[in-house]
Amino acid sequence: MNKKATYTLIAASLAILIPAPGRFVYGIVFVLELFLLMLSGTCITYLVRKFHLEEFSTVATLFVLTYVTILYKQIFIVTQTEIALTLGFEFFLPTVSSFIIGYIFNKTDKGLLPRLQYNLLAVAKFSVFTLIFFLFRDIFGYGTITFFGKNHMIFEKVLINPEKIQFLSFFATIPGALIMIAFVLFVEVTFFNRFDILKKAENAGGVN
Amino acid sequence: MFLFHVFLYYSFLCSAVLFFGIGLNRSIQVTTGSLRVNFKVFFKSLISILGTSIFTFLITQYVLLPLKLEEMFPVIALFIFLCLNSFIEALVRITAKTSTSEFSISFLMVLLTIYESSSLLESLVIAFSCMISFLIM
Repeated sequence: MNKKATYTLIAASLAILIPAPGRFVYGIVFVLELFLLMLSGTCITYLVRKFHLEEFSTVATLFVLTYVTILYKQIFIVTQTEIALTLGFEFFLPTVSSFIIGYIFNKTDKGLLPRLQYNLLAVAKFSVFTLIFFLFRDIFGYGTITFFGKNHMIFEKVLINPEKIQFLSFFATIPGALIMIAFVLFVEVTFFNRFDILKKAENAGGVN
Repeated sequence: MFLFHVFLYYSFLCSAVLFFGIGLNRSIQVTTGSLRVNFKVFFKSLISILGTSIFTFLITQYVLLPLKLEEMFPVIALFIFLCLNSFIEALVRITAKTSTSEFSISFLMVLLTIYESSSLLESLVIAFSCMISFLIM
């Protein structure tokens, strides 16, 4: 895992994951939004370059991303009102995050499909991290699991008696989330670095 | 007194950076620069945020709200912000020879300001408090 990837992950985590309440359902909301934004952003950037309108690339992409976010939020206002009410302007956090903007404006001569594949793979990797992060905070921080419910409400099931996990409720707070992100990043970076070393050793062995 | 409480609330109690997470990642990056550059970034962002907040609030209040299109205000905010930011950036480049792009922080602060305010004066106080909380970080 190179330095750039680590910094992108840190920036994305701080910008998107920390401000949201630590419930699993919000993790799913962000993951879906990230996929939608990356898909629309990549398509519009490709179209702008295809029609040689590079001068309007930034403005056009930002407007499309904002429109998509508004549309996404409207869908939640109609179907999952409680989530829309809780998140409020936090729907716009992924829109202007360095993660989305960095990948969308990444200069490359690849076609639409390889570019989509590359960008969506990055979102998929980050989504796994996001879902694990929110799931851990939901289960151990609050002792519950949440999902989309009926009648515009959030479905919530208590898994662990809150009195038993009082000391873990620290992870439901923002400082707890920061510490958790630092820990998960440390584990992830260590794991990927070990993996890279093994890969290099295997390649070196293959050459010999 | 009420506005003073609003200022304290968004500057310290519910800091835009720590509570709402606006610019948490960028604050680390900005603090690595020199003090002179950081203050220029601060003043440039402050002017663009205050200007955008005023125009967006007025348009939302008198145009979008009667048409029941208030949810479209981020697009208006983005449009005004891009225009104002380009103008200020051009000025800053000429006078101070610095170019800064603190787009995400400024845009999110404008959105927070419009979401949370109920009057023009309150929106200005919230915008200013958000920038103060960022400066403190």
